[in-house]
Amino acid sequence: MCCLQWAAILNWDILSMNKTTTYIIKPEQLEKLRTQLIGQQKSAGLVVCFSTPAVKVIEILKKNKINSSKLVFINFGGQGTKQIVNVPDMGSLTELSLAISNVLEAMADKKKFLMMSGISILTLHHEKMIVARFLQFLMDKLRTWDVDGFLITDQSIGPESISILTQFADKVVKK
Amino acid sequence: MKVARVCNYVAVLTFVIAAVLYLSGNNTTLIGDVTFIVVSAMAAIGVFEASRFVRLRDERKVWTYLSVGVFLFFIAEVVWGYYELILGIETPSAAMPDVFWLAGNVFLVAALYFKMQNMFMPAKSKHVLIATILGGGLLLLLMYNFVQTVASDGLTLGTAIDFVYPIFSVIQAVLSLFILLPLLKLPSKLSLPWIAITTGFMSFVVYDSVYAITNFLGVYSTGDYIDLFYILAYVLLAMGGYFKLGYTLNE
Repeated sequence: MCCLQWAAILNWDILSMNKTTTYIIKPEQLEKLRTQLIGQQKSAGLVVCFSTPAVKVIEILKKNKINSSKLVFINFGGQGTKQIVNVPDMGSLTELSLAISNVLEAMADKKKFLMMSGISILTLHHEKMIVARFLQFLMDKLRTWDVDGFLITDQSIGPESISILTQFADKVVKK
Repeated sequence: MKVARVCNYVAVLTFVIAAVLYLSGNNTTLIGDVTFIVVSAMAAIGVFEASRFVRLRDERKVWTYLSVGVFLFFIAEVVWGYYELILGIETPSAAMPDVFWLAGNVFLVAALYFKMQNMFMPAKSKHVLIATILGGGLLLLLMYNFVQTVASDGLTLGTAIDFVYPIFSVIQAVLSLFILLPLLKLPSKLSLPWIAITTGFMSFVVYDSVYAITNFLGVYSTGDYIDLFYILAYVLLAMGGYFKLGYTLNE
């Protein structure tokens, strides 16, 4: 039996297939790309909605006949439900990091993904350097958690964040 | 889940019974010792059971340290109970239970530290201020007690160990506060395990601070009302384990 088979049996990390993909797009492409990416996923996932309320994202998915039952959304402000976890505001990245890890921890599925779309909005609430540090923290965690990551942003997020998003991602897509 | 639920209910029930018996003023040493053993066992089993089902790797590390720490506390309670109930002697200040308690405290501080590392924490002046006031105030209080004791009795191993516990408690309180404050703003169901656990640590701090003062004044014995804070701390840890297993998404 070869090493890889043993590694698979022992569930070792060298076979870990999780991937982080960064999308740097124009703001008007965001909704279409997010819908398209969610539609392609078969696993459970967490979608952090920075620019669009979660209820609206669910509506859009429904219109496109995409099943959202395996998804959980993080929304800012408004009401929380079983499917929508409410974080009071975008001003606190500590709460956001806790909410993300809490939701991913609570998800029963082994394979899961995290999608963050419209990340650049964070720069309205925080210094660009803090946002860059947050993204670095998150990308590091995605590897530790063995969770797929889809990070969608536009250029306005700033050069520090773009640099981190491109350096730490396994794949970068620029549109 | 079933095991953690049973542990949670047994711990809560034991706390209620102990509170009633403490207030009725019966043999509180016996009640106290037995209660400590029961609730610490429930906390150790509850937390261990929860740690087996943690999914994220870094969170699993936290729960593993937590369960080892609480298990060491349980062993310490059993040895303490053995001294007081079987041998019928008052446990000396530097004795076998202290080895387990001190080791347990190291694991618990590590668990809280690793939990903090799992959060993105740009230093928030408000939180730092609260932690500094709480930690600094408690340390000053305990330092005063320590200096007074050393001045009157000289420095002994017992005195030094009695002083180490509150220091651990202060560290645990400050770390707990950093974890608790952001959690309070999130939906309760997701945050409940760590709200319960950190509140449990706070309860240990209340107990340790009052214990340090009453012990210094020479008026503490097992069976004081302040023991209820100590029992409550274990109950909250058992609850943390139960809440951890009680909330799953997409199942």
